Amino acid sequence: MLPADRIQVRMAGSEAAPVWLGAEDQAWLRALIDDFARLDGRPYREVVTFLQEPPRAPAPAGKRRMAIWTFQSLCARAQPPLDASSLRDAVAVEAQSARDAGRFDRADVIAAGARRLGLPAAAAEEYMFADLPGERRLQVPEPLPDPHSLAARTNLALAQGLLRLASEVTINIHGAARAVVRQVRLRRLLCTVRRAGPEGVRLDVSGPFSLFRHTTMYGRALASILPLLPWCERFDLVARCVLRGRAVSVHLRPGDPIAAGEQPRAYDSRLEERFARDFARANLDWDLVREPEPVEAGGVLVFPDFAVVHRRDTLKRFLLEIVGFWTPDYLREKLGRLRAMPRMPLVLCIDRGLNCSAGELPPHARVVWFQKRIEPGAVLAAIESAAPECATCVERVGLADLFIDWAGRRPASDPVHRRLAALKAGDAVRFRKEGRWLAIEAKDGPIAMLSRPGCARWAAKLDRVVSARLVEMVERQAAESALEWRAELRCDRWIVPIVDVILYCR
Amino acid sequence: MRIVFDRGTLLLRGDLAEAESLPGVLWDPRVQAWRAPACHHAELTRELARRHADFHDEVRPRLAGAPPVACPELRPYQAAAVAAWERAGRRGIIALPTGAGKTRAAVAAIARTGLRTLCLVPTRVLMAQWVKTLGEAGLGPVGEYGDGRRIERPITVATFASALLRMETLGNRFDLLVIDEVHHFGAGAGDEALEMCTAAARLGLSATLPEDEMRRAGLDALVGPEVYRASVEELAGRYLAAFQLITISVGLTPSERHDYDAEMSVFRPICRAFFEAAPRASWSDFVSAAGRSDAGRRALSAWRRSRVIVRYSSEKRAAVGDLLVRHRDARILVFAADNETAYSVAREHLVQPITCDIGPKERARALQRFSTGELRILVSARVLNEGLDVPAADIAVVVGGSQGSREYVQRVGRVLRPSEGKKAVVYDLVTRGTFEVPRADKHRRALAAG
Repeated sequence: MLPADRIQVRMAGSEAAPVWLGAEDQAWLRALIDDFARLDGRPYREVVTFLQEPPRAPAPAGKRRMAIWTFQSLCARAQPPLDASSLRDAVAVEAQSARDAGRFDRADVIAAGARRLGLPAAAAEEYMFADLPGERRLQVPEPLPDPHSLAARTNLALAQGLLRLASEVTINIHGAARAVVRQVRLRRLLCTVRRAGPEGVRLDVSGPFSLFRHTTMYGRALASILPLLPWCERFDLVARCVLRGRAVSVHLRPGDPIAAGEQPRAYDSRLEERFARDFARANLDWDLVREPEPVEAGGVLVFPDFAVVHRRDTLKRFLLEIVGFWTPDYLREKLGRLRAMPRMPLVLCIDRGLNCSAGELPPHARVVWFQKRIEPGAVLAAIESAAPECATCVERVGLADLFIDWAGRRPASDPVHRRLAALKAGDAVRFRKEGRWLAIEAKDGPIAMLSRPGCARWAAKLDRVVSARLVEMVERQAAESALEWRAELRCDRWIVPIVDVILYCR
Repeated sequence: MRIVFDRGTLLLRGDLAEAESLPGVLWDPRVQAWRAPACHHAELTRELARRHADFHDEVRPRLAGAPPVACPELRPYQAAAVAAWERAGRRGIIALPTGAGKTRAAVAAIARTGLRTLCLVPTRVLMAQWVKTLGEAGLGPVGEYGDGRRIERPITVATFASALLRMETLGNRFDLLVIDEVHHFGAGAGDEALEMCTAAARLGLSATLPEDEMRRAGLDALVGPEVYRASVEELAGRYLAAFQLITISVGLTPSERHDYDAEMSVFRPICRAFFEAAPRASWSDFVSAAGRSDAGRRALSAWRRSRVIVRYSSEKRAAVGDLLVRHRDARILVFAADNETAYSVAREHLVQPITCDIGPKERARALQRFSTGELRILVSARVLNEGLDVPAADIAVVVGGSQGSREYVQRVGRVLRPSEGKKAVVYDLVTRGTFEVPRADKHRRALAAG
């Protein structure tokens, strides 16, 4: 990641926009790569001196400095062919003896030092300092990067360099958020996960000390998240940084040229991976779903390890969590999160060595104890013994549940009509509580409000909701409304969405 | 209510009235608990006890204390310094010149308190030196964090960088924090290493504390106030060697002068124009502004080249050669402006360089040879400036550099380690008609101020 003094941004108020390398930079990047190729084999101090001089091909100075840093990070420095440290020592001792004897002659001293190590004097002169960073010879990468890949690497180094200066970041992610959350936890950062629209999540990531003041001590850990983000369907990230002594926000958006890192691992551990493989081999009736929908627990989102879904009756569905990690803090945190989860059918696979007491476990969970390996048979037994609990059912939010005129009381220019017009059957929606009222919202905002009886009926069921999807769009006209309410209307026609909700049955 | 250590902070879980008025405590909505920096631990528990709050302090694990050792024999000023630190509630900074025995004062503090101690040092070389000194004082085996080692013991030494990385786990395991070269802290960057540690007793050591009031205030909060100070002038002659400062004025050859003037004629107009327009701007403001235009970049390049001409000019080369011959029997430290110049001196005179590029084994071997007299000349750029325990040297030759007055005073301090009848000499090579002249004046004034 780029060091702070190389980072190039454009400041506008409290925002700093990264200065990305793009297609317009290809010509001078090509010239820079050619310069490095010519410097191959030269001592590094000559390379540094050359690069400090104004460039041959006109280039934006800041961008060039970033690209130079990136190219240098790809280069190596050749090791000298002999032990220069011993040679220096031998020569310095010889020189001191010669001074003491009053017969210091540089050539004689080098020859004597070289003789001690069985080397010719010329080699001693040449290699005496050859192991020092400035004297070691530049080795350019093989093959040389092309301008496009150098620009891509520089852009990633720039984005990571910016995160390196951050104290906290907020990331909105659509799809594949779990790998990011896993990385955050691996790096011992604090992460609050909330829902952002029906399919997105919002992560607020920081370190314990970030609460007190801006600190860059978590920057390296924050930067390690970045290569995972391009693997998400969509993301945007806001980092709070201090740049050039100013507190600024850096916004990384979809479309920014950030290269993806290695594909995230599919499983958190080998234990999980082996369980998934064994489970797939073991039975025909149930599917193991990796990365199911996150679940709300105590105001934050929890990412269950797996869901187990019946192949022919997909309404039969369990969440499955593996507790195989053993530090007391981790265990306390994980069990706390699980206890806060709604009363959904849950199977907990717990390592026998963890000494969890029954009182610490969520009361509604089925527990499968394991040692080293999770037996799919034991998990299936737990599931099938609890089959009635895991049944799900579908209920409809129909016209009787909805405040039908809600959208009609908004003028035709209100965004709600645009949102409703963009919806189609099958789209995911969700409930959202607003004081005593319940709203239904799509990814970009509310689309319907439940009536008073609707709220009373659905409020009690919210903790059993698995998912909700749009099934029908009913067009409503002003003339259909009761006369006494017609005066409240602000448009002639509007859409009322009908929603099917999958619930766990009690 | 429970207080637990959480990655360099304190988490207060459970019912707690008026928590917001406790020292350093803030509500952390991320974990739904109160949180404070670890350095507030002692203050916080005192305050909770004063309020008769019902709390369990689970911050400090049960660990073995420091091995009992006799307090080493101290010189009067060292004893006074340690006594002043104890009187200040075992918090504060002792400022003693280089060579006056700051480490010995720290060993005495550890021995007298018997506390589990973490010593923080700026470099790996200093870490090795502290480990050796503490071991010799009977406080071993000593733990180490840095240079690839991660060993925790009741007495442990860590580099600043390792401490910053590890304080999340080490922060609640020590009761006394000794910070060598403490002037590196107080500016914000890296201060977390001190803020994330629960140790109530803190001892800072420095030869030259920063003058900047903000930094002093930062150090005050993190370590404590300056509790004792002795200057070079006070100790020279009795506890430090007496010394003579000789400025050797050197010139440039006609071709060097021509090149220097040519470079400065590119640099000066740009620099002057900038500072006339922004008289309160700093040098870094100028560098930042110059980097944004071709003319500015050319000016910076010219400025860099002018430094190269002056840093080891022909006359300086000759003067160094003369001095090495003249003081053939003395132990000499040559200080260069940068590593490149140090290697030029080393290459020319076949003397041992000690720089950040030289590995620890080679460095240790060279210092060992220097202490036995097998080698009597070392050349360095910055590594020898600070803290490193250089065996008794008599002559310092300052060829160039020293980024500020503090660095200069520390360089001079390298030859002040006392011995019977010793009179140290410091040669300062200054190039006439260049930027080196006003800088040398400034350094001399700083030296006189101690």
